[in-house]
Amino acid sequence: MDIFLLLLIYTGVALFQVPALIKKSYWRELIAFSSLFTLAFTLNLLQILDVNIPNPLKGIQYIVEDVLHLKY
Amino acid sequence: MVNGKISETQFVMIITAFLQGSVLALSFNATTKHDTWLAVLAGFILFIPVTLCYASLAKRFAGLNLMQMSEAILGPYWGKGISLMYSWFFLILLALNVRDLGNFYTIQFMPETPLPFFIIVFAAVCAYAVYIGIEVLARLGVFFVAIPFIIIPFTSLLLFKDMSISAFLPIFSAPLKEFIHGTHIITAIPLGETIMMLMFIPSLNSTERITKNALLGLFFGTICLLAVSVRNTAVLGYTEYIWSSPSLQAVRLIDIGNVLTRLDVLIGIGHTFMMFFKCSLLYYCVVLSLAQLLRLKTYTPLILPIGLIAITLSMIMNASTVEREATGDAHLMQASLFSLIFPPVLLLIAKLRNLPDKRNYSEKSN
Amino acid sequence: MKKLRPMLIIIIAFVTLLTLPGCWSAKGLSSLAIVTGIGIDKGASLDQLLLTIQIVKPSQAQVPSSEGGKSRGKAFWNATCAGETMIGAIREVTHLIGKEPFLAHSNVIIFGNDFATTGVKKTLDFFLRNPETQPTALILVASGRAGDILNVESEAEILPVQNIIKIIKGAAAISQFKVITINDFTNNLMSKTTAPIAPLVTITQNGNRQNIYVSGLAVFKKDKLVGALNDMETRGLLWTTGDVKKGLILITSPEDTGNVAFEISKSKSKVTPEIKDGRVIIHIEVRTETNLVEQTSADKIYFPVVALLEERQAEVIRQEIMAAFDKSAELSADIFGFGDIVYKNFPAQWQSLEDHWDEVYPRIDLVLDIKVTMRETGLVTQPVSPEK
Repeated sequence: MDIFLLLLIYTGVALFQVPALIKKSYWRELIAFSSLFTLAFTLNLLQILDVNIPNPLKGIQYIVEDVLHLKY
Repeated sequence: MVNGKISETQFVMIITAFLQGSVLALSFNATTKHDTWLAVLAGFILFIPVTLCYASLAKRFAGLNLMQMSEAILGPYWGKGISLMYSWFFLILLALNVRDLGNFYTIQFMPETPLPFFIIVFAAVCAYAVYIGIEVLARLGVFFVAIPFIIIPFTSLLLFKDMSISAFLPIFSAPLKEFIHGTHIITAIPLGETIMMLMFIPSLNSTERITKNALLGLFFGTICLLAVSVRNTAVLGYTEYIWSSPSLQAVRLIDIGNVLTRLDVLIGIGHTFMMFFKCSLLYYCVVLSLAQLLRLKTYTPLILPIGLIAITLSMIMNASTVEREATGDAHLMQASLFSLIFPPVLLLIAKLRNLPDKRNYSEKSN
Repeated sequence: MKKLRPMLIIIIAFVTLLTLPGCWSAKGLSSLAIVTGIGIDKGASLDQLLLTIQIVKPSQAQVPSSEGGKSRGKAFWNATCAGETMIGAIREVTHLIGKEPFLAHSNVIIFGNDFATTGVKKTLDFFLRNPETQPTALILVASGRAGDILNVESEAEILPVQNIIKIIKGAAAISQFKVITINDFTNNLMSKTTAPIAPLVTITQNGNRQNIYVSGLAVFKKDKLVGALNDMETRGLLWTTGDVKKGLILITSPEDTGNVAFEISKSKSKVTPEIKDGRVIIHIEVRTETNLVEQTSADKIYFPVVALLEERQAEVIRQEIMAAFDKSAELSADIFGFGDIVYKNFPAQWQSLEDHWDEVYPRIDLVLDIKVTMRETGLVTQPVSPEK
């Protein structure tokens, strides 16, 4: 069910943007849009499938705390 | 690609409203307890030179925004690298702020609604705001600024009988380390996020009086932060730092003649408006910075995907309140890097390399 | 794309209409059990809490529009439930009646006597965390079981809880007691040395009818009930905290032939700490204005006598304050908040005093500076008596 909703939203977004871009021949924009779009879609899909995506802040915390010892 | 122009008053309003949105962030003042207002003051004073630095950069590179500046100063490769990092930073800020607002709703008002609903709807509204352009938001700046300026005195007045001066004693009792920590948090996070103002420089009418305007915005915004901090400490006393939203708790105590009660909805409204403004601006920064980086003709197509990424990021970073506390240092250091360290360094390099050269320097965006 | 636009807008509007009104957390009135008061007692086993929850029956709680003298059913009922935690016990109510308890109107929290002696902190956490409960709810301690207090119906009010609230607020208005809310109680708990207090409520029997009245002030140490103050001692406390707004002072008349009663019109207090030679000295300054309201003797009140009257009133106040202090010293509970006051003014010295405040507290020197000013004497200036 969630995946269905996800697909619905993303197709909606694509339908919304892509024709406008193609009509205006904004190729560069289309590429940028597509890459970000794919990234967002993958992340969201992984989330819905309960795959544990690491929290970037945790990564930064690790660097700050263990490597740089910059903790209060 | 940015069409409209922002007047000077609107610029001041933008900064003020932005800082007012950070009132929600004042809830992590567990370090300084009842001296938080002092930390706010100290943070304000310490941040003045930083603002001067931002303004100085803006003046030097008139008409250029942060991305373009860094490319000019550091050359194409390093500049783009720094720009990319800033895009990432703005994205994280956006995700964090949206998440904060979502958390605020689910904890206080509607605990049974799943968090994604709030985040998605909120992000969608911000996306629309970015779509119609920054000029519209700037025009509404006055309206947004007025909201806390009405709510804060109103609630403070109603809470007057519950306030006690002795809640502030003993003054400055927090150990120095805690105080520095607290001040650091205030400087880097609520105040430091105003680095985003450097993204709007191209839209300004003129950069002549930007120093004065930036400082003015900082001043008005900090007054609100100070007022809120003072009000909460005076009313809540000892219990202030255990609440996840002290403003809400303070306002819940209002009980005038059994008629004026349950006014916490005011806080909800205030926070919603101001966070909306703040998130829209941050959203705009992310979108604009990425668009510039990739040399796009317009930033519009990026709005939706970035929104989706931000939503996902919000959900990831939201495992639990406890985890949020654990990663506090990370965010603090990251924010300090981008708001407090990079800009002065950029300015220094610019001064050393005597940039911009006086040759005709045209805008890089076509 | 242009053609799709109106369609898109309609879809978006439709979706928005469905999701934004926040129907998710909506609760209809009939599916709620409106809780107006909660009583907490000790349960059967050691860890158990026994909750008595007063639930309103909305249909019965309405004031009848006609004077019909028709008997109404009880507008409330008390549900009892047990559990190891507050939330566990409250949820049990749903088992009983199939409605979810709605706590936003719970205005009164009563701790049973037995329960209070074991420590109330663990239940307070529930009230603080829950977004529905209001920090302005009143806290009381029952002299017996909390459940019994909630059962007392009164003539004047439909709900016992409303009755309780009225009585407490009434007593506070004539400055016999202090109204303590969850917020106040928590504030006291969070301070390291201040002892929390709460009104103590007892049931009186008057023939067939029961009523409740506030019989004293319960004193907690940390979060355990340790003792109570009686009327006089409570007022002593109120003098010091500046909470006396109205009330009576009774003294014997100058020529000792009767009593004179004064009504307090205004009172201010100031507490200043001082540390001298390692001893803590607290200066309490009380400034009160009173009006003469009743005189049972025929003594004439004329100017030189006024000073004597004021002195006697001040003596009464002094005794009340000393009584309060002595009782609290006996219980070793800092109800006045002197610890906090010392901390706020002498943070450095506080460090050494903090840990053994229990021993330091009873040995505090109180320096009382009380001044009573008599103002009006009502409508007559001299008592009724035939001219001698």
